[in-house]
Order: sequence, then C-alpha cells, then structure tokens
Amino acid sequence: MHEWALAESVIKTVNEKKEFVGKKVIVYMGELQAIDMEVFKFAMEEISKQNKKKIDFKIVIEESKFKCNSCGKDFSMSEVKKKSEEEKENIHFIPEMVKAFVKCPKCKSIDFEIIKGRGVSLGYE
Amino acid sequence: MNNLRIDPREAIIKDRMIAVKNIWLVSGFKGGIGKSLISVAVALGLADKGRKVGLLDLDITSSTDHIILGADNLYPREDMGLLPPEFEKIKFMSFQFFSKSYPLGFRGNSISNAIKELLCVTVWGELDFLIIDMPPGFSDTTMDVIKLFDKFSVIAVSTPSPLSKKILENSVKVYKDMKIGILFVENMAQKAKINSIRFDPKIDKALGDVKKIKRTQFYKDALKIVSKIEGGGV
Repeated sequence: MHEWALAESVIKTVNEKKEFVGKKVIVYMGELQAIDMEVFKFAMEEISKQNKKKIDFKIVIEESKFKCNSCGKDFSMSEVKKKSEEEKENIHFIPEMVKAFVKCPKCKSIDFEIIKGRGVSLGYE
Repeated sequence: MNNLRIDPREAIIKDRMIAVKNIWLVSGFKGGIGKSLISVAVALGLADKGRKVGLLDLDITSSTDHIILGADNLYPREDMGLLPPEFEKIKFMSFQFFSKSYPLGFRGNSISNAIKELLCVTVWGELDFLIIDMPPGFSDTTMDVIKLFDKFSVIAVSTPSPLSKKILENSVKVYKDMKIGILFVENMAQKAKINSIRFDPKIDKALGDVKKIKRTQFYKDALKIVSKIEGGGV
C-alpha cells in the first residue's frame, strides 16, 4: 500500500512545518495519482495515533491539466485514449509516467507539461 | 484558504535512507563511458561478498541496468510503500519498471518530480551499500540527489579520451567543494592500472546474462573497485 508512504510524508511535513500549527490541513490529491482514499485516510489516522497527535485535514481532488509544449493545446485525461489497468497503476506510483502512455490529442507530441493534478501537495485554511 | 502549496515528499526521503550505510553515485558526465556497466558490476560484486546491496537506476530516460542484468519482468511489491524486487541478491529499483519500453519525454521539472516520488515511496530497508547509476551530465538528477541526500560518495568514471577526462575534471569541482569523497575510475583502459577497468570487447556479448558477465575481464577488473569501496574507497 504505497498510500501509507504518502500519508507518512504528509504527517511528517505537517508536524515539522510551523505554517500548519492550528490550521486545517488541505491535502490536494492529483487525479493522476489515483490514490485509494479509504486506505489513505486509514493510514493518516493510524500514523497520527502512533504519533499521539491528531491532524485535522480534508482532501481536495484536483483534475489533471496538461499543456502541449509543441502545439500549445491544453488538455486533460478525459480527452486522451483510455488507459489500461497496468498503465494506470504505473502512473499511480509515479505520476510522471503519464508521459510514457499519453500523447497530445491534437499533434500527438509526447512533449507536454503536467500543469496540475499530478500528486499530493499540502495547503491549509 | 490561501495559495500556499507544500510538497510533503522531501520530508520523508532522508528517513527512507536512514538504514542505508553507504551511498555511492556512479557518475561520469559524458554518455557512453560505461557508468551503467560499472554500477551493475559493483552491485553484483558487493552482493557476492555478502553485502546487503541496493541498485537504483536514476538514468530515467535511458535506463539500461535491467538490460545488463537480464532482469526484464521485475516489478516492486507494495507494502507500506514500494519494496524493490530482488535480483541476484540485489534490491533493484528502476523507472523502467513503470515506463516499460515507452520513451519518456522529460523536461527538468518532471525529472525532479519523478525522482522525488520514487525516493519518497521506495522502502530500501537495511543496506550496506546503495549504488546509484546516474545519467550523464551535471543536470537535474545530480542537483536533486545533492539536495535530497545527506551523505554520499562518488565513483567518477572517465575513459582514456581527453574529452571524457576534461569534462570530468570540470564537473567534479562541485563535489570537491562540497568535500564529497570521490573515487576516480578509468574505464576502457588500454592496460591495467590502479582504479582502472580494461577495455573488454567481450562485455557486449555478456549483456543480459549475469553468469557470463562474471566471467569477463571487465567484471574481474571491476572487483578491484568493489574492494576499494568496501574499504571506504577514497
């Protein structure tokens, strides 16, 4: 369950950074990483229990957005050919692997940027 | 709500390396000088000596360690992170497990993100040595490793070519300034010298077969490098 590894990194960061003191943590989850939310939430709770420090957090899912460096087209996962389960799993572990399996729907270039929705990042409110 | 975004991965990467006693980057700055072959040979040699060894192929867009080893169908197992598969008593991790045979069109930011992701989720456990096969050049991967790892040493590879030596000389200044230990190794040497691996025309025919690799002169010469780094190396 690599969701545990990500939950560990979230908790360690929140506990170490003063920006999060007294704040509600927002865990942004990129669509590309396709995290299993139940496993992630369970891991967050279990690791917090071990640390004896509860973290108030909410999860916000971010849709993926790409920009082609070749023709300039903006596109999302919904505009590209559906991926196989194996391809989805490889992207789940390393979101940048989307570049191995996706091409720009307009010019077919593999040179595109992931603008948003890649993986886990943190904010607060 | 504000626009602050914090990347949580960097906080955990040093923890992941906590039980790794020695990290060696196999670096060389020019392409085609044998970094991958030396990385694999050193990892095999250390494993044969009973050391706990990890091999990480960080040459993201041109991974070849799996080809050298003949390790085509490996995949990490999930257990509180990603556990590198074991091959020839080596814990082996490569981006090729995920990219398969597709080309990766990576620019700088994607390289950094992919490296951070892999280092964040890979659970190496206890290792005596982690050998990291670096891409050519002093670019994103090198700078990320310098930023993310507390302590490492470098096997700096060159060939008899003056171009290779000159570019290496320029690039290692950065490591020297940082007081990082450097072991200079000349590959494709014309005759046996200290810290050199002789040119071996038979090595190409041994690729993909570890038993054959271990019978080559290349491997026997690489074992001298293994002994050196076992003793601290620099």
